[in-house]
Amino acid sequence: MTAKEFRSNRGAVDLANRRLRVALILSALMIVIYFGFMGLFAFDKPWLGTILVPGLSYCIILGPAVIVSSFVLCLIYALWANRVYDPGVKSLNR
Amino acid sequence: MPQGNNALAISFFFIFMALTLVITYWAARRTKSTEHFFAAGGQITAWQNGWALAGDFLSAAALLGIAGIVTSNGFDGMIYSIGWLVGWPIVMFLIVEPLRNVGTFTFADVVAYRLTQRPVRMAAAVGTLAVILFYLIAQMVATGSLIKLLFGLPYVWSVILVGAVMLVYVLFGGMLATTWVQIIKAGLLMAGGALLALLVLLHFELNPLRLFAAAAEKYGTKVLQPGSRVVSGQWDAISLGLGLMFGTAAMPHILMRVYTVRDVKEARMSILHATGIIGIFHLFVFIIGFGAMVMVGPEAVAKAGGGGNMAAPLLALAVGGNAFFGFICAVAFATMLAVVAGLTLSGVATLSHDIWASVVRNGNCPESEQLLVARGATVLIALFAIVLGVLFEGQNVAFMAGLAFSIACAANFPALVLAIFWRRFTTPAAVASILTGTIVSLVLILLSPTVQVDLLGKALKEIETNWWFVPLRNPAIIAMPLSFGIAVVVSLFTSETAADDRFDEMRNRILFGAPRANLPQAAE
Repeated sequence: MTAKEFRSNRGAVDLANRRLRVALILSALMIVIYFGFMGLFAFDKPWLGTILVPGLSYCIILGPAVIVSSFVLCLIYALWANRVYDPGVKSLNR
Repeated sequence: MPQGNNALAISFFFIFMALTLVITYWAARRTKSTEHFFAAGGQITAWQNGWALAGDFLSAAALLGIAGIVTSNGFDGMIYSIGWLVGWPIVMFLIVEPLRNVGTFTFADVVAYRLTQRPVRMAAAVGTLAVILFYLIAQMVATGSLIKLLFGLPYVWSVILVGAVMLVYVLFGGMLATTWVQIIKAGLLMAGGALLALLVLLHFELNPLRLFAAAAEKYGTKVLQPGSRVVSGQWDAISLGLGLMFGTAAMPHILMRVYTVRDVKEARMSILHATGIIGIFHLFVFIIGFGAMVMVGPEAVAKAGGGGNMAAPLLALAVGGNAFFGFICAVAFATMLAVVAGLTLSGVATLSHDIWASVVRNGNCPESEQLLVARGATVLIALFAIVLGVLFEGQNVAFMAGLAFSIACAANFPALVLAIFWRRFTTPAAVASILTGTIVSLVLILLSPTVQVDLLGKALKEIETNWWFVPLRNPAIIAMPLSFGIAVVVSLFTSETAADDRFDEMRNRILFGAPRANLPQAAE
């Protein structure tokens, strides 16, 4: 029975939980960044629209920053998964 | 105004069509099984699949819809760009490993894995088809207005033309052809977008701030500030955000693409590539939208019709002349065609794999029969797309596509996440959650100002006092929590020993992948 084997395979359970933790932390970060931005957009438009220099306001900086941060978070996960998680899975007994 | 018979544009168009037909022919000779038809035999590489994902995702909404919104409203268009990107990390962190290692062709495979197959698959099919049809409408509407502008053909005929061409290559080429067309199209789209943005910036010393400043000088600083014309209410903005973020993580045609690569690592890397490509493209679109505002003018764009969807092509005409206009039109057309094909394919997978093979034939369906049903379903979906495309003429694509994402977010996302992460999740809960999400979203859209005011032409004043009136244009903020809530409550009131037992087996499979014997031989 694979289910029983899985429960008794300490290493596998640990690794699965570890991936879950990493995934949840990174997801939470993304959600905070995005809904932080959307929160400002919905509830504090005047601040977000502050003009800093001609042609530049806070939202013009923060919008692209959200885009860049989602790529960076993906990159962090991909590097972690390729360098830590995958070798970890390989070293376990199926 | 360029009207019809633009020889250069038309030749670009036909060169692209010829190219895609060659690919389809080549792929058709290789499409011999359902595995090939739906998952391209698992032979696509991560880099290719990243481009194909970007191709699937960067629909008409991205190039035409968002550029149009930026042109007429400034910064607010970016709300869509950002929302359409932040879902990708969620796919990467929460969805991709379980999806790839547990499923075979569709996301319903994962939801149904440890639950009772038939009811779950039927519910999932309802949700998937609702999402796909809404998304198809958006694409068909934009295509219609583009072809009208390019060829001077009547709107109805242009929609029929798109439907027919799409039908040809989904029918004969399946996933392999669709994937290659997506890759080529994504490449052309990126090149075209980059060139268009560059040509705009050349007028502003390559400094985006000068472009923004010029826009502010002409139309007031409000174009650089968040406004309320695109998303009117505060909670509507949050609702749109929810829909875009979690809808992306539950779009059936995107999720289907994790099966076209060799293994989970390739799937992961393809998501990373796609996120990068899409992010960069959205930055280009922002420049393009402001470029069209300053160099073409919102009035001229609005006059060209099609819900502001023609901003990017008109800008191409202004900065690059007729040849470039032709190129951008061809690329935009290819974009929509390819997205429509990808959507159709995933609708077809739902009908033939989830409904016919798993529900009607109870899993005992010869492959040749499944393929036959798949081809019949393709024709059916193409007909639906054409009819709906004609009915919804004149809506902004980005907005319509946003609604499709809201439905996906409420109908598919809760069930998918709970199936993966929650041991207590049960079959009745999955069915209730998917149906609640789908029905509540559709009803809310029906009662919203979008349908009541924009489509049916009622006066806002008259209906806003009615008890059933819904002030939200985006349904996710109500529909998604309801769908989650129903799932939790029903799970707690029912118990399913089998589902509980198989939870650890599923976790094992998420970690190690499918048992060796079940791996498709194409993996070698």
